[in-house]
Amino acid sequence: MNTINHITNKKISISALHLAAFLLIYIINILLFFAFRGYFFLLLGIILTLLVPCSFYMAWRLADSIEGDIRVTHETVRPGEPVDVIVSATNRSLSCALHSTWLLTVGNSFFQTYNDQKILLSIPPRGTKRFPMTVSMTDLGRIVFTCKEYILTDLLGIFLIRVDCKPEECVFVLPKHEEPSQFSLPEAYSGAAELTESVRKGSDHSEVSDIRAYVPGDRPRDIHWKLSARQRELMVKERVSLSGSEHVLLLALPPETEKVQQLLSEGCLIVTEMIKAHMTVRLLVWNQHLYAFDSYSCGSEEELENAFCEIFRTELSARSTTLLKGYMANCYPQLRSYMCLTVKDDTIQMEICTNG
Amino acid sequence: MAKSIWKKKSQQNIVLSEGIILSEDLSAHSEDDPYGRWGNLLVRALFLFAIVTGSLGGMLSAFHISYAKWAFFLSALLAALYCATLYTSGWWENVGYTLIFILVLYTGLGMRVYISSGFYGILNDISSSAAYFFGTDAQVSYAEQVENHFMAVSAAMCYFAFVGCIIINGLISRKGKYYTAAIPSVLFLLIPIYLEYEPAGGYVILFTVGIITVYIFRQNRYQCHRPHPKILRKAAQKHVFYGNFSSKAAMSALLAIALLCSIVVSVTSFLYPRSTYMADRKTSTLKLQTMDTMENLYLLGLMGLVNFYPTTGGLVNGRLGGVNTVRLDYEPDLNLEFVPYTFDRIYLKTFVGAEYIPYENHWSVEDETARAEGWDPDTARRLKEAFASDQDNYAKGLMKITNVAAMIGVYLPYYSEDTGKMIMPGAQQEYTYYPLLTGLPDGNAAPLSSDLWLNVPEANLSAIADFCEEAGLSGSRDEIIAGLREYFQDEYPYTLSPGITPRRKDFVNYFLTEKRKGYCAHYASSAVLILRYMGIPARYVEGYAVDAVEIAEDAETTDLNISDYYEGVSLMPQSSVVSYAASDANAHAWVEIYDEILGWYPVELTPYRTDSEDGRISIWDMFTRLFQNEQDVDFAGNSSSEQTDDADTTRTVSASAHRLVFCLILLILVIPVWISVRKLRWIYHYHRANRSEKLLMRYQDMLRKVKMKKELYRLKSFEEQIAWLVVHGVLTDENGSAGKLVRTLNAAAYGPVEISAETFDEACELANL
Repeated sequence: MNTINHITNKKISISALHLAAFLLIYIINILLFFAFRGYFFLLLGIILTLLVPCSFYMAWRLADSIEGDIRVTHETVRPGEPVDVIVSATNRSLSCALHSTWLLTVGNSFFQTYNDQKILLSIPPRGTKRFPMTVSMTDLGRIVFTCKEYILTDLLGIFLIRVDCKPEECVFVLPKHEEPSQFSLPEAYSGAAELTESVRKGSDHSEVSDIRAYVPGDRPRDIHWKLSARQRELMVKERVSLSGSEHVLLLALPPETEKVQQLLSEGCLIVTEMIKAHMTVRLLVWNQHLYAFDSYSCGSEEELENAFCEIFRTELSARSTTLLKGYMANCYPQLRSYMCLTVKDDTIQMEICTNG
Repeated sequence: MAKSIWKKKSQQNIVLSEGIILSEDLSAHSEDDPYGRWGNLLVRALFLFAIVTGSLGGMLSAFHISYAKWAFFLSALLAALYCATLYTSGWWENVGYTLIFILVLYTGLGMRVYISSGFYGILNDISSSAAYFFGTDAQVSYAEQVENHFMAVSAAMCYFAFVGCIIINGLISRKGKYYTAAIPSVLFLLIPIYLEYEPAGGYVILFTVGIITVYIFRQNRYQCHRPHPKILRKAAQKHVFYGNFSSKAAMSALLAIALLCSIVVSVTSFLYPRSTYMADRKTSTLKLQTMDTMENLYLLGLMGLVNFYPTTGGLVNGRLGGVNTVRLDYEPDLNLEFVPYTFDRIYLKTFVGAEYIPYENHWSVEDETARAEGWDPDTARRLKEAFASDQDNYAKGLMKITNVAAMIGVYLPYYSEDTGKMIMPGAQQEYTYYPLLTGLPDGNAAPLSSDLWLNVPEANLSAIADFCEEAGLSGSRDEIIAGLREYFQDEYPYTLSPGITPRRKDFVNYFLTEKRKGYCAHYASSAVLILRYMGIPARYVEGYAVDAVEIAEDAETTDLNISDYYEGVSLMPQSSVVSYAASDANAHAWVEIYDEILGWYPVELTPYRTDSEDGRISIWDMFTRLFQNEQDVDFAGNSSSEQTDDADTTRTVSASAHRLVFCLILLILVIPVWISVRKLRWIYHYHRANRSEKLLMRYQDMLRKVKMKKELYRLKSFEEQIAWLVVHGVLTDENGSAGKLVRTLNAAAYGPVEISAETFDEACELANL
């Protein structure tokens, strides 16, 4: 829940059309009074005169005592899944408004696409008015619901009181992960790189930092056979990987919306399969703001979801660059090779890249 | 085949933003406010109740008409509650309306005696109040069939409350015509307020609450029901979403207004009570100016609005009784060029009435002998002969009369033989006349050919006899004339606002016995009959009269040679040729009396004016003068038993013809106004619209112009419509332009964003908009 109670400013404007309509009625009443000299028109004139300040006062009081909410039922969804968004206004005072306009901005912050919506609500006294919307998303990203301001109209419709507010509620639309990946698990990311380290020198992603005695539980592939034979004791290589024992997957995001979504979906599927294969993957995504790669370790589906959420927090324009390989060499000089999911010739391709 | 517009719409998703789709039913928002639906119904019922009881009850309370108020309020409440539920669902709307129409019809027929009697009872009560206000003895009254006035009025009020609720609810709930519903209810209160009767405070509160609530709901676009899903979808496609209107908010607004109105009415009534206000207030000028028209309306109905005499000072060839107030425009009617010769009044005779027709209220000249005798060439001939022999005692004058704006006719100075010189508008005629100054004409006057000049209709005998007795008229001719003049001067004050003669009343009798005030036509008509009753031959004359004072003050002297205009004796020897513009203020009616020696001579019996009415013309008069009719100015009289069938038929045909003409004129006036208003509304909405809406408006306008309204019912998609237009040659389909236009129109109608300026221009060009 995000409460819209950060009132920063109130601005009053006047609806010329409504003012003109009221003045017309007021003048007609005056004319009728002078034409007929009726007591009735005198009373009506007094009522109309007092109605303006009363109406304005009611709206002004209401502007101070209103609280707005935006609620979403899910924090993360998959494309096509419905999400309930409820915009509600709670009024603590006895004032009421028959007409108020809530300016709601709805958009995808990842792709930086926004659109303004107007929700017309009547505000009851000491009560809450809700406006539920069920939305579904087709694009991945971070869907933001922001109420920029609300405009309260007094009963006569003459005065418009604009109240600024800055609430924000978001929903992350994550790629679907139930479908199989288009890529079969190749050696490159099924651990073959490390398994064949000894026979294919130079293709290892990790570096040996220490040699120690074998302890039960160590992986057989880490046993340093030569040294063990020499010392007649099983010795194992203590590896220092870029991310421990993780596999590195670089997501080279293109600037095109459609391709990005395909790439991210494919990346998600690949990582999910790897997680299912009990592998840990380190996702690397470029962040122009930090001028560094955002790095997310994904050993479980929860971590993968969090990683995508974090990816979506920064807009696509800051994540897309053509100089990724150079940045990788600069940022991770110790890394020999890594997997890279990229778009080439309008297709998603998985590459095993040699760093540097 | 393309699908209809609505079907097409329902298939389209509402896109909030790129990749974000609204995927729910827009009409299903009522769950958050379970009591909202019934609450809104209650609100609607309450303001319906307030408007109906406030207006109808307020009107009756102003006139102090007694009836069973509890029954009226109960029936109004029940009707309002029932009507409020009529739009809860489609089937109930149909069934509910059917039921209520059956009920209204059944009740109306079953209780028609009570309802009509109650209605007439209310009208009679209002009529008596109106008669008191207008100060008239005449009163329009209707026969009440039910003796129990209280019960009949109560029944009628209950029925009217029911019908009122249905009408107002239909206007507001079905069509959203808030103002259309409010205006007639205001008119109900305007009637008593105009007549200076004020509604009771409680009704004022009810009415103001109802009216202000209507205004506020209208301004806030409050709708008792959630808008139709089609409307919601259309709005949603433009990114506007309607939440349910909160019944609590609506009820609070209603209560707040009720509280404000109650406080204002209570406090004002305490600080400045109605009785004090009524004592202090001044009568408005507008009311004074329109009072005659309203009195006409009250007495004669709608035709009273067009029942105006031309600007001839209330005189039109012997027609009487149709003038409420003589309104003078002081514009020249005749231009007179002559030499003033006397200090007495100079008369120009244009109409001589021989026979008075009672109840039809006009003077007749149908008798040919009387018509000929009326112009009296005999006296002129004798004076001419006397002038030829003795210029010291007799005179001969020439009067050039130009008809500026008077009716076609002879304007004969006393005495002249030029009885055939009619003056058309804009034309000039020269009349040679021989004034009677110092000498009598030679010989005796021609004897009267018939006793027509002594005829008094039987219908007037009684009133005239009573009058003569009351005035004590007796003695010689001169004594009778002097007595009559004196009695008129003392007892029958002159006024330019005598009021209209009511239907079924005789003009002379009404003047002599009831109204007892009037202008020259009243005195001249009555005096003729009185003198005839007293045995003095007399006749009614209309024309123009110019006083020496008026000539001295307003006439312009000219350089014309006096000898060309006047010869012989003159009572004003230092005079010259003058030019005088006679206006409708100079229009006059007088009496001619027969003397065996003199012949017919004019006698003035109209009293001097004592009031300060100037009869200045108002804008309303100028407007109503558009509808004036010279032939049919007297609607006041009603057919008496003495009238012939032919006369009845003529009157009916004439009245119908003029009603028809009036309606046609109204229609001719209304149609251009209506077209202009529609056009202005279109322009107003067009300038407020965005490009998409502008394109659709222009497209609709184009469709209207090619007159395919019937086709529109069948062709509901743009594809079909454009195809039809291409087939019928209205549009061309060069290089796929029709398809492009269809796409643009669809984008404008259903697209999430406004179309671009280039697209708009292109579409306008393609469709020749």
